[in-house]
Amino acid sequence: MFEDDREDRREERREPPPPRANVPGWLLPVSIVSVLLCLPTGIAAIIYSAQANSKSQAGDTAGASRAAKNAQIWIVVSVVAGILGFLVLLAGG
Amino acid sequence: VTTSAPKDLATLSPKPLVTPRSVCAGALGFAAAASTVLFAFDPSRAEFYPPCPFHTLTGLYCPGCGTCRALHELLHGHLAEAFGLNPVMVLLIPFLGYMLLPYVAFAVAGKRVPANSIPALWTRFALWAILAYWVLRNVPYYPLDLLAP
Repeated sequence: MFEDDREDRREERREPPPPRANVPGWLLPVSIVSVLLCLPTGIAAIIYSAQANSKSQAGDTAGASRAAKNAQIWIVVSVVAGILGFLVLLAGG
Repeated sequence: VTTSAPKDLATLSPKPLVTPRSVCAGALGFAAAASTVLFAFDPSRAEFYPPCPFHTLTGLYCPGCGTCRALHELLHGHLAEAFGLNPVMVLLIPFLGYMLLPYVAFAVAGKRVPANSIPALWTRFALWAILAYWVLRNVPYYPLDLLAP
């Protein structure tokens, strides 16, 4: 009982944790991989993932989530463009 | 957006086909298959590898040019040849491995591992370094021409 109370008070004195934005850790590495696999649209993905990391660590939760979403969109664009390009080359070659 | 999904999905029944774990496992399987093909067939000789769209359109090198050939050399243990084809890619491999390891662990063991994070300054440095690399490896004079594949 008393142990619990003390625990609670200690909890109150502690500083509130900084707000954490939802920036998945795979965004930046996957963006870089997409650039290294000859998908120049991956540069946009890198720009947005770098932005998401910066904003998340600066405490800008909303901005980080938005940048992370944009990064995901550009990763999907890169992958789809890559698959389409490959199919076009297969059909044409 | 995606980090809270696995718990919610795990409590659902029947189990959906597309879960975060199945996506991770699919990506891992694709990477393994691609590595096998890359190991077996030399991109500088085989004809079925797609060419770089940027290089085909502009005649210039992109930051990724040489990656396929470099990975082929790496898979055969030829570090120096790989470095000569795409030095930045070779240098980035430890970083990429560090960042993606939690997802590999998740795909294999099914256990959620906290994502590795790096300082925001490094991510911005990586962005500018790759953009600078894009320009510099197209300069046709020594020593910058060493960056070309």
